[in-house]
Amino acid sequence: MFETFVLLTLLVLACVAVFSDNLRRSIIFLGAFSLTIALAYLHYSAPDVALAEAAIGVGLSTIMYLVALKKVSVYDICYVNEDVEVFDDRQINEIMNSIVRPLELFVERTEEIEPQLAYTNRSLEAVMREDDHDCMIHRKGNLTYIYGDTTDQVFQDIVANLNEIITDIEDIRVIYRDEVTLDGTD
Amino acid sequence: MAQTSRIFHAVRILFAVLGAAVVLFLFLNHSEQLDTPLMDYFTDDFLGQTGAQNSVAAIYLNYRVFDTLFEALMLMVSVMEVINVSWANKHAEQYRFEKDDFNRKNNSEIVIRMVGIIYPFVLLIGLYIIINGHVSPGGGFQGGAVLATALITRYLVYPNFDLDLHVLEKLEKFLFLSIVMTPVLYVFMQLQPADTTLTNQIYLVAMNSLIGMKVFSGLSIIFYRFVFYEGR
Repeated sequence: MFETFVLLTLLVLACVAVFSDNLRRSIIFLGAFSLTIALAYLHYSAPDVALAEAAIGVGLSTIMYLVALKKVSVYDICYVNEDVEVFDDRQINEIMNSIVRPLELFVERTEEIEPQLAYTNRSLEAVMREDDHDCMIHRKGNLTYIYGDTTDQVFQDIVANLNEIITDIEDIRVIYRDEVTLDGTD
Repeated sequence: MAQTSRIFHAVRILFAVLGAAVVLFLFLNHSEQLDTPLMDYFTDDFLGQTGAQNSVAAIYLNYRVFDTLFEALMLMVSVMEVINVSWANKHAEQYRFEKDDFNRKNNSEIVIRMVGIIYPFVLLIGLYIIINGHVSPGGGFQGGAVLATALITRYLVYPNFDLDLHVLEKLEKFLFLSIVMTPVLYVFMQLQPADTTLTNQIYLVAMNSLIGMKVFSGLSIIFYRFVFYEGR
């Protein structure tokens, strides 16, 4: 029973790690896979191998992969919604299928860059002033704005394919940050 | 063209299925029962012969110590290769690691505090695994990997390049020499003061410590090379 459970978990974790859309998630699943296979080694009475697997697989290689991922390009998207009082999982789940997942998939698959999303309820001006995001999605009431630079090739691609990426929201306005001066009223 | 490639495809699949069927057939019909002379030899009296209470340590430090030498050589060669590759595209000496690179604001507060708490325990368990390797599961390789992991978590908290990698590289080569010399003198040439359990255990602890130090320095070199000399 225990054996079957561990082996099935291994299979599931391996599949999830391979088919995951996000590289960072893949790495975490790979770490979980290593931990489970260490448990399996322990079950087959090989504690020495389990120890080596736990040290190498969970510790070393996970950190190594994470550092490697940090060195490849990351596309930084910020989702700004000032109407939300506290950003928690519920709000993120609401926009998960309409905005987050399609955008992540597009950046990951088509542009082959690692997407990274941040969520905030601070005001747009503060975010723009203090942080340096590649792309920002601003939600204000029923209106959706998407901010980016004209020189940013990835952002141009996103804008060009916006109709296919985000199908749920019909009316999205694109604002190029380097062409428009923001006077604080927008 | 498409037709032929489809036929080739079918033939390939057919061959794969046939091969799998043959292997499975042979595997399932193989009923020869072999004795276990090697297992008996290794597990009968390893405590008396080698002084190790852990049969795995008895095998890799005494019965099959020749294999261990080549494993150590393999690690050293891979370290040398990593150094070589990371030298190829960057002028290592021109790299500067300035103090301003280090910015504590970028690091997660949770990670810093947790690593600070866990760090001494990780070091302790690494040393325990190395020194107690001949009694309990573990040994030089596992303990060295745990120690290297501790050093690497230090990078997560304090990403500065203040280690002298040249010293570590020299140390690793010197340790490899010691790892080769110790079993050659002790096991192969039997230059031992007395063939008692105590001397055997001293040999095992010494070998485990040497291997642990070597694995620790090797993995640390690979990691720090990778982090500071590769990419951006």
